[in-house]
Amino acid sequence: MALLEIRGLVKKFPQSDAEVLHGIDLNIEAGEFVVVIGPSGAGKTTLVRCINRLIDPTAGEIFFDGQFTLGLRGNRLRKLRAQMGMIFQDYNLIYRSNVMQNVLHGRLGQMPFYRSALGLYARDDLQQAYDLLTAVGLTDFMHVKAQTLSGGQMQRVGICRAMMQNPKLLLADEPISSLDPASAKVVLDQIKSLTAARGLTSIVNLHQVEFAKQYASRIVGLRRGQIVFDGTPDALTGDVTNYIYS
Amino acid sequence: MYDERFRIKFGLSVFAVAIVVVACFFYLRLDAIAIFTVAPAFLSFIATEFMPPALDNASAFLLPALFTVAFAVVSTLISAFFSFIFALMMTEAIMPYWTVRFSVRFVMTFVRNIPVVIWAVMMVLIFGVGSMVGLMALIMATTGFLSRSYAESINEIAVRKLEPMRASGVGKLAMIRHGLLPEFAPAWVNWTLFSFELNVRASAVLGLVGVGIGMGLTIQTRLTFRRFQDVATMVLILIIVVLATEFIANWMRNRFMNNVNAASSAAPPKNNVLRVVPLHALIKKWFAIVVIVSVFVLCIFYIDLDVARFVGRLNRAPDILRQLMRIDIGIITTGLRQFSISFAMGLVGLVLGGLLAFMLAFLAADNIAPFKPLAMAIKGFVSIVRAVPSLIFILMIVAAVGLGYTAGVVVLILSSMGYLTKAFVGTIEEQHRGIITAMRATGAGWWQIVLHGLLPAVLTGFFAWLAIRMETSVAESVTLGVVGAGGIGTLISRAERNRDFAALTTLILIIVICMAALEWGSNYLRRRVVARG
Repeated sequence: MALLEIRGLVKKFPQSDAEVLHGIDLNIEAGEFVVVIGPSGAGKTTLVRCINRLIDPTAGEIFFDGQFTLGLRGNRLRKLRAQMGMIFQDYNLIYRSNVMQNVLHGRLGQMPFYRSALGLYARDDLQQAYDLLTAVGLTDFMHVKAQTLSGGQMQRVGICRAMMQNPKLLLADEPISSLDPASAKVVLDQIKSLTAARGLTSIVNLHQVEFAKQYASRIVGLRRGQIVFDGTPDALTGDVTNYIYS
Repeated sequence: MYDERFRIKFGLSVFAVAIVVVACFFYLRLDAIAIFTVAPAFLSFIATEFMPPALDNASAFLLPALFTVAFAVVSTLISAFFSFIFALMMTEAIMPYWTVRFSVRFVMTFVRNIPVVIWAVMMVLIFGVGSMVGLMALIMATTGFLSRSYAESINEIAVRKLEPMRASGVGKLAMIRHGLLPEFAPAWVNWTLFSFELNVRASAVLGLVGVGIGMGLTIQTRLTFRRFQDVATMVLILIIVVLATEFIANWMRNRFMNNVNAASSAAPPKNNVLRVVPLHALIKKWFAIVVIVSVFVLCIFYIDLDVARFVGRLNRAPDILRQLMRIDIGIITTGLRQFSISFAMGLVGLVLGGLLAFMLAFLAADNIAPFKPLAMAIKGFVSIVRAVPSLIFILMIVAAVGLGYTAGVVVLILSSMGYLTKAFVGTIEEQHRGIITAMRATGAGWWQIVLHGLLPAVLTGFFAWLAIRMETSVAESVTLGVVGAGGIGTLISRAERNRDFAALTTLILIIVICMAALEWGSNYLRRRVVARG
């Protein structure tokens, strides 16, 4: 059974008449590195956010790990979200907290109520956060306030925060859109190597086709809220790309 | 931005404002000349009666001054605490039930739009005089103001910054503690210090309206006995205290902001001990918390709240509250007319004060000031004017030239001028020096730089400040009425004296509704102006 099953997903925002997502069907198997491409406004962000329910879809079904996700509320919704790490375009770090704190925030959702409220992290958590920072080369910055980091460094902290959840699924929404090409490559390399080492399933939104072909094990092309391509990077020809972005 | 349509619109607006101000003059039967002749009369009165300040008594006045500051500390910190909780209840990301959000917002709008002096009048009526009553009045007004300011900042943070935590299943309390609190801290410090500065002035004033505490009381008694030289000493001390608190508040702001940058040098972890937060940062944080708490406790002991007396009177509160739960339909028209007088006074004060501020600001702003000593003199003068609460001003002016709308309008002009000059100077000084340098390089003179370089850049900011000040100016005008300057405030103090509860409730409701409308109008103007800029 697929790790993630999406059937007939529709999203309509109250402000506009048009459907942002127009009946999406998608199965994602454990261990895949799926890159979703498409022009801005194609519905990439909405799709990813429906998966962890930051956005509630209008119609359709989503099963994660065999569980129907759309009815979940309260604690059970939180438990679902704790199993999915997310990386954001604008990093969304807590600027006035240090790097270590920001990484550890990824663990808060899985701690008992009082421990999370007081910030009583376990020794092992600290060690894991440190190891993650080592992997992305930021140990020297562990006690530096996040606001003083560069964009690339911030996103690497964002990766660690998502990994800190020990998630079953990693969602990344335009993780490199705000970065220069050099930092973008570092960030994608690190996402790729950290997920590969853990056999972690990933869904990454990108709008750069070259990067998608380079990193993806499977590419999904989104155009006006519909999947118009689903296949290996090799199958993504110039014609298809042109159609997606037309 | 200087296209034809803008010019026409701008010209028409200025013309409309001028007409309205002239109409206000007729409405209030103001003597345009008197407004300007009051100043020399007032100054000569000050020079002959208030000078020299009775410095030999100064030590006797220091205790009330200390009391005033301690009072401001206690009221500000208590309000800051409650405001934070209310602000959370007004934020969508924290409080999912819109009914709760809406009710809290509604109550806070109500609370915010009653000026502190009116709160004091009401509290005195219900609970009698005493420090507890003064404290409650200050807390009410401050909480109304702070909860809104906090809520704006919190909302912004909650939308942008808490999403990762929501996306990873973090609970509300942990989200507030680890996400919201650190990001909100600078805004908290800023707003809280701002209200502390306001509260120092407000708590100095409360004694004037019968709360019976602090510097206001001392000034009041000395004025009654025409001991003007003592009053001069008190006012002098008050000015020093206000300027000192402003200085300290600014120092704390700067320190808090710079702290972040100073702590941010990259280094490998020491001694291979893993810590979430390094020890020195932890110590610093707890030290700051301990200092705040101990200052709070010290101040509470110092102001020696009359809790026992207050509690003893609680049993009469329900009875009076019941009497307050009535409305006097008959007074509505009079009330509205009197509010329109307060409004007209506030508007005249705003526009004329704004004009003065406009002229002074370009002479005083560091980056354009034509003559440095003059700039220093203006800045000093403005700080002093700003330091004296308008209620104290009006009592001094009344002592000099008698009561009436003129006295009220003069005070409102002065206080708007003080506030706006500082705001305008700030806006001008924020402008990039490049504009001025570039124009100077082309050989432009002072006038040309001001008119063609700076003015287009600062106009939007000026209008935003005017819109903000409009609310305060009218609120101040209502307040001045309580000591007899006319308008709805005077009606309120009369209703209080006659213990006419139904009239009091009705008048306060009129104030709340009109002020809320004004707040809405001011926000609307500000949004339009900013959107254009």
